[in-house]
Amino acid sequence: MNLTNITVLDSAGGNAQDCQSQTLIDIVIDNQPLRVPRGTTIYAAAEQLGIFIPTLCSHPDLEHNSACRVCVVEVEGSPQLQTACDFHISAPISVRTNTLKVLRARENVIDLLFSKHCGYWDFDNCSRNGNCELQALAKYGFSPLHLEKKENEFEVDHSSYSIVRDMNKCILCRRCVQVCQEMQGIGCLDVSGHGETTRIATFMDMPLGESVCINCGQCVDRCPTAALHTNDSSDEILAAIADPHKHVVVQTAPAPRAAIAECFGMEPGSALTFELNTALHQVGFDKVFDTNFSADLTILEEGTELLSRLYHALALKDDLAVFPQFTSCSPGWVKFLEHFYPEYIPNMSSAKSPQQMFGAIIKTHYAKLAGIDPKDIVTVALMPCTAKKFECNRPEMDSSGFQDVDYAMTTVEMADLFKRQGIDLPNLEKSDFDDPFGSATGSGVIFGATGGVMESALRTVIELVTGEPVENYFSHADIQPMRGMLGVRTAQITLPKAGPVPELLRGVLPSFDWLAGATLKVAIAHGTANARKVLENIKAGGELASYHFIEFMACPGGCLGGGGQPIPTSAEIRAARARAIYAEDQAYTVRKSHENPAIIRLYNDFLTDGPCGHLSHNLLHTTYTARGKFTN
Amino acid sequence: MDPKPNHLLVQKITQKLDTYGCVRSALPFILPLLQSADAQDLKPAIQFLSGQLDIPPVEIYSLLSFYQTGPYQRGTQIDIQLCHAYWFEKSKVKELAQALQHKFQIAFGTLSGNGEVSLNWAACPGYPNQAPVLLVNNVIYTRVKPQDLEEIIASCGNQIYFPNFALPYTWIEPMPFSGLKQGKAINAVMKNTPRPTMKSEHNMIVCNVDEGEPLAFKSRALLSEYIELTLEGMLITAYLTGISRGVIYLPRRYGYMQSLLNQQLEQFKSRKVLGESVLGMEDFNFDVELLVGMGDYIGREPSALTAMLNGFRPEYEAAHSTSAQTCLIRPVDYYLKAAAITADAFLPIQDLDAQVAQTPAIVSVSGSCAQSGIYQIQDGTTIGDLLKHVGGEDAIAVQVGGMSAGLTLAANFDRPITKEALAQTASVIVYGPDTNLQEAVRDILRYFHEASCGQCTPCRNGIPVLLKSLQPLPANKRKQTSLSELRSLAETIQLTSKCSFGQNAPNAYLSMLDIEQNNTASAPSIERLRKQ
Repeated sequence: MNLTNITVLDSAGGNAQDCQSQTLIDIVIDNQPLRVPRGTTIYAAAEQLGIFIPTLCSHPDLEHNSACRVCVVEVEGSPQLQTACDFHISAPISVRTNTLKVLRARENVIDLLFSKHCGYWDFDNCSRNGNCELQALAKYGFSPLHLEKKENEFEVDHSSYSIVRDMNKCILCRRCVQVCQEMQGIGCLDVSGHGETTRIATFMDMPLGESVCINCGQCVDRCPTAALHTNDSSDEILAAIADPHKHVVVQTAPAPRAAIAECFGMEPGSALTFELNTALHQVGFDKVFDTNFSADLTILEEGTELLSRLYHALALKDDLAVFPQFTSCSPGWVKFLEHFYPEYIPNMSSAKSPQQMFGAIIKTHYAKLAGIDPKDIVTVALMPCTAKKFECNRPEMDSSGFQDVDYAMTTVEMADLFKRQGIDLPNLEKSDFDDPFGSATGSGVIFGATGGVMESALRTVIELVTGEPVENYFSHADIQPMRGMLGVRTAQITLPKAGPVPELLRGVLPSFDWLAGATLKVAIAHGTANARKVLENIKAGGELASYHFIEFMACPGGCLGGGGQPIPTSAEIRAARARAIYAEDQAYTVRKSHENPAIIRLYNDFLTDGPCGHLSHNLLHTTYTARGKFTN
Repeated sequence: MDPKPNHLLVQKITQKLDTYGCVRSALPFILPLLQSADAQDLKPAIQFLSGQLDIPPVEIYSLLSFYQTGPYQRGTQIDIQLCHAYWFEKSKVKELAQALQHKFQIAFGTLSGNGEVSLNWAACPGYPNQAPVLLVNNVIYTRVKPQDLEEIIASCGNQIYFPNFALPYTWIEPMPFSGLKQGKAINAVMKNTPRPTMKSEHNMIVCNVDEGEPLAFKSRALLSEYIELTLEGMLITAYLTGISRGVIYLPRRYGYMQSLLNQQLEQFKSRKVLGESVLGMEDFNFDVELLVGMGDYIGREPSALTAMLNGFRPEYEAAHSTSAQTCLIRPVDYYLKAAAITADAFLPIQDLDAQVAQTPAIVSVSGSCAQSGIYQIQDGTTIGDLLKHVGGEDAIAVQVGGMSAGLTLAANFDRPITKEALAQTASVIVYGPDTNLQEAVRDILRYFHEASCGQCTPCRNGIPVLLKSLQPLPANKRKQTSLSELRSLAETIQLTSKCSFGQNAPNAYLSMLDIEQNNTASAPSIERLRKQ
């Protein structure tokens, strides 16, 4: 197997690091000497000495904007206080972090922030209670100025399926603007007005649901308060559970399982997959299914679609197939494309996302198996994602005759629900997923990380085409070049030989001979700013225009960095979650989608005309809508 | 469904894009079109522009909203603006405001029934001590008395027709450049100094007419008196640096000077003193255009002005590092001094900045004094000297450095006026014996409150608290923040604000607290005011 890795685009994976050089500088912080490389921030230097400086607007994923002025310290010789987060040390300095001057100023600044945070005295009612970064600052300066309490002034924006904007709680740290513009390249939010009337606004102050917001929820993840929070439907779900006529099933995606432990004070990277099953049963869900099942299904549908596109291009040599094929399982990415690059909708795989495939299967196949009227089935999806809430409400997602997925819940919402119900998730017994979809594969698990869809697809495609186990080419079936956090990754894989067409695909393709020796060019992008780079490259007829298959994920790091994942997030936390996901993949005996026995059963019993067949076309594939560049 | 774009507006925007290029830095020249657009045309126009510049529409919306001061309604026939007055001249203005409202039977901020007359408040147009100042169809009238109104309205903003009331007039002390013959300086430079071979680090020369705050009027006065010499100074700077583009940045409150300045620029262009191959030199291209600003914060903070010229929000250091334009920003008197220095030089001009820095500071003096105007401060001049000169001997305090400076009390009038104190704002404000200190400080804070860019917490949220503490509390409200807490807050704003604007905003307030602490018997105390 010939596999090459090529750098096509310059793209940072995480974020620009604070620039540091090798020149060392002697500094003193609170009378303790320290030697640091030139360019180190005071904050980082103090951290080395074990001195904690509270901050608010700085975030490890973003450039410092130093707008909040919480992290002020005294630098000898400078009349003004300096912000520790963005003060880059370039000369020997002496810093004091705990003088009366610093403490007073910090107290007052924090109090000013509180004075604009409506309803802070009513924190019990706040979705971020206990995990609010402003609340955490209260101990450094709560109300020393006795400022007037501010009453709610803005109407809460509930227009979006995914995200609720409550500007009464906004303290103007501007992280959401930064993440939306710089990290995601969307430009839905910006600062409006000036002075005391400064606010965060959308274009023409339109409701979020009407804007170009792609629902990725990265702003929710970065918001220090509950000014941006997810649109929680747990009340409706609990009502459905309480209704004896309703059969409520839940599917859990791999990313929440690798992260929900963080909501219970555990280290990032601890997976609680099977404890979660127990907890969900305790909440009262009738069945707990594994989204990995439908992830495997996605691989077969999307992989088959790729092969048939390739067949048109390489064997029939007609112009019917459009390349590169884009993955379609990230609903944020889908909406991004619909808004900003609608001309590339034909490139999009028509396969639904695993969540939606599962919903359609549950309300058809499962309903029949279990003998339940689909109108009485309520499907819930536990997702790392805020955009999934929008996705399940897309009008075309009703191929079962009902809304395929009724509610999507985020990791954080589910953790909150557990806490409300007194469920101590980390200490529960383990239990398995429910039949008939019980077992899953490692391929489905790695969907949660950037590159995972591509790796799973390649595992299956290589094996189906060559007829040889993928382990012959990649040890342990780990396709390492797909992994990592670089923003855009590319690889070219030459298929050394072609075997006979497996039975599953015989309805679609007559032979694989035309694929022998063919080089498959694949790329991976995560974070929509990186997606934009890839699309611009394709648009300009660059290197990537000649590629065959590109995986796109709206969120940095893929689903594990989704907007519904536990707060906080950072490059390190995302890397730890990725480790948990790849470790789970290792633990599975079946690690390839097409070997999933439940999948094989499904194609034998239900989708009898095979992948991309008539029934699967109706149930598992979808269409996309071109949207305006300016409004939804 | 989105409304259709207004073709005329789109056409105008396209014209600007043709002139300035399809780049972000064209935005400051296009925004005025959007500001005057009808509400229903705004959205499609921004969308069109966003597509042309390939930036998210919300960023253009953000810029536009930065300047929004509420809808401005302009009458079809007569647009009257009465300029806000400060504490030392309020009563006369109040009287005229009543007369205006009575005459047209409309309130401020509204239009007359037939849409012909509009009445609005305006920001300080640079004629303090001449209140009440009236702008009628952008023609300025000073020291207006209610009985003058008839005549002024009849003249309908006709500049030529000045009947019995006072001409706008600013006293300007004779300066080295005042006798300078036009063209002398640029000829001397061209004779003595070769053109630079190195490319300048900047690519735009900006003549900043914004004083940074109201009650300062040096740049306004000097520019209206010496327009040609200012342009010559800019030309000299362009010659010495090799920069080919110049902008005169006029703050919005000086917008009425626009037509006069444009006439001058046209004249210069037709005389080939501006444009391509200036003064017959093949490699010397320099063009100047006028940009009327839209907010108050911008002109004071060079990094904000740079951000604004690059099409970003005019906030402190808001221009992205990749900005296309880096600007050489200097005030009007810099260019005048440059002309004066170069006219007399027989040697090549090496470092113009350093030479200009050695010249005496030029300040505007306003407030309680007989002879408000523009003065030159020689080294060693004390506050007392200046006060004697301007007829303000009975002053109880002055602000050296304008509104953003602290108050210097009479006991310290023997102190010399330093250049450093005037570096931020070249303005001296005189407080007479009958000054109501609270009223004065309230006026000052009101300005800082309105002009704050809103980026950092202490300035955005702190200044309103200080301002509120100077306003009488409603009877049912309990006082919240104590005096010592207010002092602590004011100090925090000084210490933690990002830029000099916020750092200096509470200076006068703190001075007032000091004075009251030492002098509780005579001055009405802030505590008492709050109880009223």
